[in-house]
Amino acid sequence: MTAVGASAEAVLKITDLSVAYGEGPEVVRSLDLTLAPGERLGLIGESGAGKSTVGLAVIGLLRSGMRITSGSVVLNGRELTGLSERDLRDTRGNDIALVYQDALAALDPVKSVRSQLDEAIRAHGDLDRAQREAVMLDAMAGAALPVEHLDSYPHELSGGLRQRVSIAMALANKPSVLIADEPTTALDVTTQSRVLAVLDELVKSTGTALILITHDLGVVSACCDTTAVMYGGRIVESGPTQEVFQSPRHPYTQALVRSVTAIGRSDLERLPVIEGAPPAAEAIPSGCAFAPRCERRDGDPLCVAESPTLAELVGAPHRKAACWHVETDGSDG
Amino acid sequence: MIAFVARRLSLALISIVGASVIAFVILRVAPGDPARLVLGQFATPAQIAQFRRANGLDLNLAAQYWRFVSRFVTGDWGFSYGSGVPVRHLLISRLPATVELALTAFAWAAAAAVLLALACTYRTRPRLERSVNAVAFAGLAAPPFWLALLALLALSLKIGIFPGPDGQINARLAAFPHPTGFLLLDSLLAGRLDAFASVVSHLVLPAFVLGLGVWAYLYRLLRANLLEVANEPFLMVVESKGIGRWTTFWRHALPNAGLPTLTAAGLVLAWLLGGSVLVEAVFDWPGVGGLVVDAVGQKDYSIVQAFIVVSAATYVAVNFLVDLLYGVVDPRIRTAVNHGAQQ
Amino acid sequence: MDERAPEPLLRVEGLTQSFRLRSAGRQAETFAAVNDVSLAVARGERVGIVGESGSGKSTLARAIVGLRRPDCGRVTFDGTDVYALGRRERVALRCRLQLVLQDPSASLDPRMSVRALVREGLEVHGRGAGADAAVAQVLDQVGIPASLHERKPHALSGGQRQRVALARSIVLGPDLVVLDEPVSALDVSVQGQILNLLLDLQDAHDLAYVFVVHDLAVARWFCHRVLVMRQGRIVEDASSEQLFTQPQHPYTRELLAAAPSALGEPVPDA
Repeated sequence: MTAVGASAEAVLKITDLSVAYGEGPEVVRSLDLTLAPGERLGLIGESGAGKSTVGLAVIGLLRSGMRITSGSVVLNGRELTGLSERDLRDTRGNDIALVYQDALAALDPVKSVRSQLDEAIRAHGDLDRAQREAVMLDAMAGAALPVEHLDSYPHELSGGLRQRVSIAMALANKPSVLIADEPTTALDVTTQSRVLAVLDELVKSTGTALILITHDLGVVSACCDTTAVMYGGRIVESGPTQEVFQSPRHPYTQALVRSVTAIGRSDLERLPVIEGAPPAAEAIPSGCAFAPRCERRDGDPLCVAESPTLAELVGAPHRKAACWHVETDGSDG
Repeated sequence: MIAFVARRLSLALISIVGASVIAFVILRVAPGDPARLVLGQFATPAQIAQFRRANGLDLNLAAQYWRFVSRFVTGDWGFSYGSGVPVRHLLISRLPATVELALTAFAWAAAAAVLLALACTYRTRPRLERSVNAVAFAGLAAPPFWLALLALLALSLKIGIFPGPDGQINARLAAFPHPTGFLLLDSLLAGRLDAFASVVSHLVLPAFVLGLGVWAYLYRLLRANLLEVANEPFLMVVESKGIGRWTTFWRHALPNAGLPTLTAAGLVLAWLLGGSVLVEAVFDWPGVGGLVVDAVGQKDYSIVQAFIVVSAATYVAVNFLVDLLYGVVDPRIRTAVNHGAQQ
Repeated sequence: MDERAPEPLLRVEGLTQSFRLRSAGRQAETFAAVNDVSLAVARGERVGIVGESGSGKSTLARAIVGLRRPDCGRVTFDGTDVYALGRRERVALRCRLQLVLQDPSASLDPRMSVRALVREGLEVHGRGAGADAAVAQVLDQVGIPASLHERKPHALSGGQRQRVALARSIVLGPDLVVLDEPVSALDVSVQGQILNLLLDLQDAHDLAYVFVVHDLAVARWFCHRVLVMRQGRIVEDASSEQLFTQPQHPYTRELLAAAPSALGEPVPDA
């Protein structure tokens, strides 16, 4: 899935990625994803969908006994799975960086902003102090941060400022890919728009490709060229953002879009809902994960027997959906 | 800042005074008459009366206390009834040995606690953890003097790597000046490497034995705190910058987890500086521990009182240092007057 | 539709709640979390309080239900001054004036079963006799099947936990329920279910709601009237339609403009 005006070489190519808890249930199942240079992808999902896990798997920081059980992750032509820890460390902060959700938890409380920024810069490349200072100032400016905050501590800054520090830190070395995991979820609405604007600007100016992981469709709509919707550890729909939201093809996407747009309508007595709840990682049903909640199923045994593959839509090769009953024309909502 | 220091100092003074008052009263109230203890059972009443007058024991409690305090601050810490030597001399001659031992024990215990706690938490290593935990458990449970005897038996008597229980240094070596009282320093200052080696070898067993319990305590505390911090997202973010896991833990997890351990370390150090009677006894260490215990038994008030004041002052000084270090380690405490977030 | 009965069910007048900031050695500053807030809620009405973090909305919610005495101001519930009551009467009043909190995993005792959680309130208020029937009925109403009645909260999903929290409040038969961000911690697809449930419960039990929320779109959809709160003060108080089509206060307009447009739909202009 490439952005409009496709470039030849994908900056990130994930193929058949599976992540599981040790020997246990899979949290991410056979995931395929391609990211072009500078592309901004929104990865949408609810809890248990596995979206955060994908991000952590790519940067190699899986925790709590989770590990990649199969598949490949190729960054700038280089295979990341199976790399030694030292080689992985070279890529982290350099080719690929992470911005985490809650900036108060994401910044070391006992170190100043300067110290943490400097650490990010010092980890890669041999710049002397003056050069590092220049990079630091540049990074601060890029995130629209007043320079005096360099000597502040995280607890002295507001949520929005902290998150911008996180962003500056991640992009200081101009990585090829930035993974932003729910970057604005913990922020107020007014702060959110400011932070997103900064993220947007910076990503564009550094040419970094972005994977924005979130559950908030509005954020993706504002910020991302392309969207991939995850459910039950798999991508169930993908394509250019506006197209996916305006004419979703997968029943889950349709239901999601419906519930979000329904809030904007004053004529509804009740909100349209999807019965049930997203499955927890340990309880993902076999076959299509969404089948138990799907209205389109009509008792088709195929849905429970086999998990649908993510296939291109007829007549729209840049859009994909994983459904045995994908419709060939518009949405039903 | 000045207000902070001033307040802490005045509180400190109150603590020290309080400790001295309590000790003073308890000593006087407990049964036993120093005059009889010192002069023996055949002393005549006249001798006893004279002794009491000479040592101010015939005054009332408040007057006695005032006598003690007013002389203490001028450097006159009284006379030891038993030995007739000025208390200040006694203490000064014996404190350095205790302090040297305490500092050595603390240094190795604290360093080992930090390193091992980090090693056991930065990566899950069940085998290492289990063995270290077992040793820590034993270290906490085993009484130091028993360990001392065991160590002497095994390592000195049987295997002979370390010297036996004969104090700080091989007495047969040529003497050298002791300007500081700390033999490690003094031997180096005098350029006597043979003496230095002897001091070191004499220090090993007592410092190890004394430090083991300290190490165990600090290790367990630090490890528990590190485990809590280990799951914090900011560590993952540091790693995402390309920093190695050990460095991440050393630079970021340790300062965040270290505060409770810092407090505990302060308390432990102050306690160590008060001298460990039994260990000193086993190794025949010329420290303050045995001196004070004997003094209590003999109702040699002066020594005990002076020691309590010194001891209280040590606790207070160490805790004060810890408070200052707190501010260094955790800037949130430094900026306790922050007015909330800036925008 | 005349939303106001002769006397509103809940009336808040001039409510102010300040907190003292402790500064080492300096004079303590006071900070008004809630500053001279007034509002009224009629029977069957749904009033929304919208604000960002630090606006004081949660403090206000607690003051309304009688949990925290304000520094000044008055809360009148069904003609009774809540804070003029003695302790015992205020406790009895709790049955009628309930509070549901945001995070059900924090507000449900992890060691109690669903049944025990819902029963507890009844027992506290001396209505233990016949409680089992009431508990079963209300759990059915909120959509918790019998198979889950013995489960502990950690074995339930977020949406189910919030349903239990609602059941716990509803079983006491309140007239007014204050909801502090009841759906913010839930997945998008579950939020709709809970909002629908709240509407069903309101119809079934003739409830009034005070709905504290940070999401404007939800407030607009759910509430008859919306109050916008900022730094302790109410800056705007209007019907939800009016608020969204003709916002008066610049802060309201700022909030509306900042909310990510729902999937490309134009945001109503000031």
